[in-house]
Amino acid sequence: MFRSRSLTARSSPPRGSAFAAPWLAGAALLYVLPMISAGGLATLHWNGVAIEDARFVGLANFRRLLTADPAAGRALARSAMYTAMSVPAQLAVGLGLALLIRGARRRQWWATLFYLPHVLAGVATILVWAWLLNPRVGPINALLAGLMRPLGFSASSLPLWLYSADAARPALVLMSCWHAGGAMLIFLAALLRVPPAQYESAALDGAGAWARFRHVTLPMIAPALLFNVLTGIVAAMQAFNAPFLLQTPPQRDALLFVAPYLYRCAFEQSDLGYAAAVAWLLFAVLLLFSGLLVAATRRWMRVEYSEAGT
Amino acid sequence: MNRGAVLPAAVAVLAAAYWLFADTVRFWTGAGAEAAAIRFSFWGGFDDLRMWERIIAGFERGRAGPRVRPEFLPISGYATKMQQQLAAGGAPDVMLYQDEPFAVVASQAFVDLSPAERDPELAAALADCYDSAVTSFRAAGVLRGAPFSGGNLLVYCNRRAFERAGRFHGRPVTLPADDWTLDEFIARCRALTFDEDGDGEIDQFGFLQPSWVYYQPLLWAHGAELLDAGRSGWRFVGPAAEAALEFYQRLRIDWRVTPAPAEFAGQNADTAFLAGRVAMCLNGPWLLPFLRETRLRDGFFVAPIPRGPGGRDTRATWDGLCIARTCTGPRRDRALEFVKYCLTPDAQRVVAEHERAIPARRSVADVWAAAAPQPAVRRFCGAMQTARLQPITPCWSAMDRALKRTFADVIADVPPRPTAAQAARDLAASPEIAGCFVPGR
Repeated sequence: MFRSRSLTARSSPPRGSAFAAPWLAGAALLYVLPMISAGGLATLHWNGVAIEDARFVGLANFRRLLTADPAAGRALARSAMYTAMSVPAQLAVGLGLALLIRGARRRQWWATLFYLPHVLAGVATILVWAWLLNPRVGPINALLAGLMRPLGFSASSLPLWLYSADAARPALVLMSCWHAGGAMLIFLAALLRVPPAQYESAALDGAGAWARFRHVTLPMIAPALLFNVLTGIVAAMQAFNAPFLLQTPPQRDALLFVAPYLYRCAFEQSDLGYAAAVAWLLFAVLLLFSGLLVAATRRWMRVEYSEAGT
Repeated sequence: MNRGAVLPAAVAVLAAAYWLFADTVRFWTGAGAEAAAIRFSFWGGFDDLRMWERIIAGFERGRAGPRVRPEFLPISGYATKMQQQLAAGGAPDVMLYQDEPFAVVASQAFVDLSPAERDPELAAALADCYDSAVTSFRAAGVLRGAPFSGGNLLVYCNRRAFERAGRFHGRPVTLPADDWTLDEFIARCRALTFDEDGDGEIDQFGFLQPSWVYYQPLLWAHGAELLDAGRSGWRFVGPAAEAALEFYQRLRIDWRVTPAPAEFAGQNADTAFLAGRVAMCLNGPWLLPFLRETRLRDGFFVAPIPRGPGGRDTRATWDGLCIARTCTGPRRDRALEFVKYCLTPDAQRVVAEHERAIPARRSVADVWAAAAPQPAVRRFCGAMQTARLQPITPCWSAMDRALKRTFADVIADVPPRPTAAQAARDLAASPEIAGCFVPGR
């Protein structure tokens, strides 16, 4: 139903390459080339001041990373923990919103509204969140205080959010839900392509709302789910802006994830070679995990949109 | 694609590319005045920008040659941003550097100014500078930066907060005397801390707990030292170090006279002091222009460091001008000319007029202090005579990280919280300290 001739007709290869050329050039310049450079840099001991003072150390940086740097392991574990908390939360909110507006009358308006936070400038919204989560004057704690006072809780029992080692990560997870609009849009597109006939026949067979969601909706949107899971994991494991900007001493490094740790190695400890090794480790972990995830979920990915839509 | 559209499309792409990159190409190929200009980076606020614009205008007036292009950066992460530019091979020709990060990169990043020291004009200027200022910019005995301006730390007191405490207690809380002691400091902190409305939350705190760098004068007041004279041995162990850490801990945990970060969240040290959330804080002359523009203009007082068993020394800190090693040939000559100009009495007087820092040249600072209407200026200039240089070392970054962690741990709101003795031991054994310094006893 969404197909049109212009979209489905195969482009001739030269024209397709021409359209892809800007992206390919960008990818080569901004991703592939820096990756290769980082690979070379990872074999050097260099403090980032004068390149002529750099010293070739072979795989020593990788050896140190894997055997003698518990701080790197802790940073990776923190990132993994954050990912395990934030990705399901973002997906749940995204899917919930998509389900909510799927049948709404002004669906496009709602979709635009929920997607808006996703396009707002990152650093600006992070700073706004820092204020929202301010334990003294922030509206979130003011709201919680209002809700909890009748239950006999005092103001001192409210979370300190970014000023606490325990609440800093949950605060970041809360923030990540703000960006659920991206996942929502993809879920919405997938939901709209589920043939209504499938729901009707399931209902005729006596399936309730949950059974229809479990046995019709979820399998049909599985590719979108996998896509959102994968991109969510990659984004969460690479999280930098929010954890970097929102660090406070009482957190005791709770937000020192892999990417901020990499930055610290490079520009605070002046160890660029080692930082490049950390970057390569992160890349390897993500590549391995993505590969495993795709392989493990292959049997669920049976939906053909071209058929589903017809 | 229609063949007839190829040519216009190509022209449009080329025109867009020219519009986007022409300045960049001109800059890097050496065409135009921009390419010849000396790039000069500095940090600060709006007042610093105005000060540097005046100095640069003074330099360019009557001195033919490439102009100086100012590159203004916020102070937050300034050294890191410089480090990134150094790593990328695009560092500015002249950089304003703080003494702490200077030591980390000096030997590799900056030009040796020793030959220039033989220039009578520069030699005379350096001889007129505070000793600690010149020492700050020697790396392994080699001068790699020219001191420009500096400051030290004293205790700022918010008079209104003192008066408010007096009203709360029903008796005046007096401003500190010149010879006050650590015990009197504690007594003041406790008197200035109170819960005005009785809601269980403290409304005014006596003191704002500083980061370890600002805490150094109080650390010295306890007789503690971080490094030995050679700056290679770790000395922050033993009873004096433990006493200094315990004092820091008791201010927060036992006496509750300093707010936890969450208790002044959203404010920084300057605004917490301005708003009267804290009555006293340790700060330098760079707070003066900020206060001058506020309602606290005449409502603050600057007191010396309280005396302890180790004395009452304050900490001197200096900013200097360094020339990047990548700046060569005629550009280096022009950069050196600019650096020398910044040490002339004309440029140093501009520093004094902006009242943000103490000029590196004593003669200019003395004249300024004698004529300054603000007593605080005289106090800061006077304190500079006896201020101690902080322990600057090439291992500054590692030491800074370990000390920050230790100071955060001893005042953690939630246990486990190490004792002062345990914290000092853990600090000495930390990879950052044990890896950089010879253990002390």
